[in-house]
Amino acid sequence: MNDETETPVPPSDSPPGQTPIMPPAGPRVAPPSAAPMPEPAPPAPAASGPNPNAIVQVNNLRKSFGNTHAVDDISFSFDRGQIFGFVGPNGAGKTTTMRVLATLEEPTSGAAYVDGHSVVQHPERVRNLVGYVPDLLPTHSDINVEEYLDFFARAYGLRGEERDAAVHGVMEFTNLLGIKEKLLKALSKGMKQRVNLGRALIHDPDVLILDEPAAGLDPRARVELRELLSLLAFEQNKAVFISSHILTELTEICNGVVIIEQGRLLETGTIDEVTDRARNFTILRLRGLDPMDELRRNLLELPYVTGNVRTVGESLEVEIEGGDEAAADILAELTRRGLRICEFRPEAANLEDIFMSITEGKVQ
Amino acid sequence: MKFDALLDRVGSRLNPIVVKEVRQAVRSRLVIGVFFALLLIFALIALFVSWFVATDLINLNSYNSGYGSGYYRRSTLGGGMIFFMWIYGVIAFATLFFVPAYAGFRIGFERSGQDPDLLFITSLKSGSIIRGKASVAALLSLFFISAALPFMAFAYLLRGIDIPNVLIIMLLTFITSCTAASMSILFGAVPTRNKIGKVVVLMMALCGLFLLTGFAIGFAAAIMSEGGFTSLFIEVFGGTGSLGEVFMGIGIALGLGAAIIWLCHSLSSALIAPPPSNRIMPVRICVTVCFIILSVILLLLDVFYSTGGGLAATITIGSVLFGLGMLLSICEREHPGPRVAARIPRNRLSRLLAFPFFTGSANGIIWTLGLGLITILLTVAYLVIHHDIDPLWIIATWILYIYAYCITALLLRRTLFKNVFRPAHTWLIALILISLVSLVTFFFSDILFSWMGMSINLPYGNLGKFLVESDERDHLAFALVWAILVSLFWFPVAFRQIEAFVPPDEDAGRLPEMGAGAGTPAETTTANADGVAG
Repeated sequence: MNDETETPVPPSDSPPGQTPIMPPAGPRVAPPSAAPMPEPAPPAPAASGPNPNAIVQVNNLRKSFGNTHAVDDISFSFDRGQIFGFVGPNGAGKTTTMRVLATLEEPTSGAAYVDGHSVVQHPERVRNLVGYVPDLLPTHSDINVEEYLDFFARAYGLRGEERDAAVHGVMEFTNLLGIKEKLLKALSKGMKQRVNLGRALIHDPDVLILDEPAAGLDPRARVELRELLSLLAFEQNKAVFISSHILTELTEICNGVVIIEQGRLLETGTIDEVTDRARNFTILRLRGLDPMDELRRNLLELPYVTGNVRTVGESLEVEIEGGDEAAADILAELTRRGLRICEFRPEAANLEDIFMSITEGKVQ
Repeated sequence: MKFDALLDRVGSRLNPIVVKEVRQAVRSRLVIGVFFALLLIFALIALFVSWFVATDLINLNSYNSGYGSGYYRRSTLGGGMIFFMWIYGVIAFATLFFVPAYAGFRIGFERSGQDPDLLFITSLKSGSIIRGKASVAALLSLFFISAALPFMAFAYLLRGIDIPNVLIIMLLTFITSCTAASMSILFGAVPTRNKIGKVVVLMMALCGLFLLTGFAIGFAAAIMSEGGFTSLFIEVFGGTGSLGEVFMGIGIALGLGAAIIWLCHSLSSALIAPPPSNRIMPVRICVTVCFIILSVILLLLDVFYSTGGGLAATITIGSVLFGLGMLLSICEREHPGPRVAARIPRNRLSRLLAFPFFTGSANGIIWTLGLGLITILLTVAYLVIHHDIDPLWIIATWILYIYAYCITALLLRRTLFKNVFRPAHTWLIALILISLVSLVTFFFSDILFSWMGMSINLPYGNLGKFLVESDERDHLAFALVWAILVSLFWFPVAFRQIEAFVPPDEDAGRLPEMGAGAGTPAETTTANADGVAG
């Protein structure tokens, strides 16, 4: 267990001299523009089940609001140097779980620990270890970027030179130095999200929790955010927990994933573990010369097909149980039925396929 | 250099909310616009009044019109006084309307976003957020008052008002402004889910501020008409108008302002604090301390000056507080959440003293019974001083009735309506119960029996009848029996809550050792919204 949770070695391809002088608080690496993006997902240690050494541990967590069980008995863990994706349909309980970890909600039962401290018994200790980025952007009026960050530095109890260094370090890291005098309301969404991230990093937390940080950002802002998160996890050895609906993006930067639906845990583990466990099904991409509806109808009659048939352009994407043998049987059967198949391509399941396969799109 | 370092150190230790809000205020077009508008208006007023005096359109001195007496004696004000009143009207609007409204709007606006959440994951507490907001409102008031002071001095030169009276008026205005800002912040902190609710809260706050501004201007006019604060004091309260009495009057105003500000801050903090905290504690401490101080002061005044009205007012306040306290307490859940439980004192005596101040229905009911006991003691004191036993009967019956109704509602919610009403709605059961009993007794006594020609009065349980009729002793006996009966059912529930009022184990917050079940030693189980342990 311990071996499996070793912190991954951060990529060492950052040229020396590009890392700025470390401030007493605040992030400790160069801005993304100054350092090449680290390897997206280094060989990840397993961190799925209860792991006493993981920095974040969630054990049998439940949270109810009246008769609604927003979170229903979920357990997972992840460690420093990891980026864990948190995936689920809208209303699955992601935000509630994140708010529990950020000490904003009290669990109905179960436990959650950050660096060994219970979010229930010692919330004030946890708050010093966690940076939380909610899914809303800052709305303060008549305040500029530097003052906003200075305010939160004060709110975290940083004083004097330590506070100044933290604010400067964060602005440098998130590339905000050039716009530090700008009012918050004059910023673009991408810039506001950078400010949001800077705010969460101002007290140099070990764990960063981000709720839908990429929502509404343009492609460039997303790439920049991804780079920042990779730096935080793989160079600064922070634990990053991020919820997002853009699964392809998560696959690119995450070591691990937690998938929930209707408050229940469906899958958790490193990306490799999860995809390994999903090896019992395959995604087939087919294109035929016959009408698509007929092809779909025939496919749904076959025993291997699970029922997930999607239209992707002019092709159909089908989820089947089994591997190559099942795919070969399906092709043979379709041909036997007289259907003219011009494209038939089995593909390994990715995170998006796994998500579609194991969730039902139900909300509470 | 040393001074700069000292300033830096002081600045570092300032409430972060104050620093942020002051920065926002000085950058706000609204605040700066109002400030410059004030200066412009003051200048225009000075210009016009000077011109009117110079051209003899108004007299420089006040004179007796010869009609009326007392308050109306100086019905014709001189130029200086007119000038002062205009300046004061403008500054009253700025400090008693604009500043509180600005403070209330700001917190209301921030409540609608996620800002409070972000603050609660820092080291800031809800109390310091509210104190910060109120401090900024006080600073803004001072800022506006300071802008008016040179013009006030000009009013003195125009023989309008002397400097001590200017200072007294501005001091009282400042206190009122702080009080109004605290009340406005309280309105801003009220959680409103829909637009109608927001509009209702907004209208209430604005109406309150308008009334307050009007009252303050009227108060200043009264001081002017009476020829100073001391004269007005003698006119209203009597006495000799000695310096001691004047200071006592100012002291009472200060004390009253401080008590209202404290209460508003406690309530506002409770409203914005996240649910898993012991939000009720500051409110209960504030109410207890203020009520005890008020009771002691008015009791002493009654003993030495026989001012029975004050003590009677305190008894009335106590009775109202008892009713509100009971209605709120029965709506609380039965067991504190683990985060609140972690703050239960480990020392047995401290735990005993802390019990009524923690969240929980039994805790709240016991605290409210404490308030009821103080109120009863005050009525006993009233009996001793004034030889009047009626208040004792009335208050005792009132307390027993409210207790019986509320406990009955609590027991009904726990048993019959467990799946219908949430604990937070128990007050509704109590009110329905009061209405139902009143209607039934009214129907039998005043309609049915009367129609049947029978003279049977059935007033029991009818709060309306109890308050208007004078058969308190019958009501008292009935309420006492009812209270004893419901207590028999409620005491075991309360006892279980008292037993469960213990802090968690020292190592509850630690991560379980390897090999132990996931979360076993530190596993938390909190009461859910139904008050049932999850």
